Amino acid sequence: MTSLQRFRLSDLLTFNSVNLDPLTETYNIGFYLEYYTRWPEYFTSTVSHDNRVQGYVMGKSEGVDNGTVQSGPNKGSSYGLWHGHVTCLTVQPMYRRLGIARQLMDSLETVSQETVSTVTVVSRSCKKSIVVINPLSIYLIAQ
Amino acid sequence: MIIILTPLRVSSQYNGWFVDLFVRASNFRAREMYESFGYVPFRRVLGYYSGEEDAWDYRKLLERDKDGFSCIPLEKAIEPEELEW
Repeated sequence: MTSLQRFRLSDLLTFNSVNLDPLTETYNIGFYLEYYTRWPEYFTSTVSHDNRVQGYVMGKSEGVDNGTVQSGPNKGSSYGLWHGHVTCLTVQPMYRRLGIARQLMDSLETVSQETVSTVTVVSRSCKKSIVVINPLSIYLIAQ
Repeated sequence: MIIILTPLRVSSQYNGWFVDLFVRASNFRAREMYESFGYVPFRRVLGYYSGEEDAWDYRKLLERDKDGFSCIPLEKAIEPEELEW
């Protein structure tokens, strides 16, 4: 069984078996922390039933949201529009050929095109609820 | 009545136009995989990896870009300093 979950900082201490792959870059700790704090929704891992990290995707959002790039050599182009960026995607060898990379990419694409802000919460009665935050009010849409 | 709410998942409103990624030109397995996920080769970036290897910039449209104008492939390769971000 594979579960998708938000990347945790403690995963940095146990992801060696993923990062030993020669095509997987190991960055400095600060680089991971910047992604973790600025784009937490873009940092997702999958874990096995025995809680091992199988792989993860780390990404961010960047660009300009007003149609075209306003300055620099690409002024006027649409290449730099607001978008999601995949910084790294990796799955350790023993968990390959299971569709894990596709799940991680699906999650990043979903996050990138989200048009409402939501917070999923658990109340004391342990019912899962989704709260939609809109600029004027916070309301519960489902319980 | 006091209700204690514990956040489980927070999702921001990103509303992006597309998703992009860079991949080593020699990494054919990864490129095939991304193509099977719907990514298209948008442009080649010369010497992106330490000046030793080119990168392919792959893009996939999101629903917001209905006309698809942010992912029309470029014919000419670019230098890393020409990248927007």
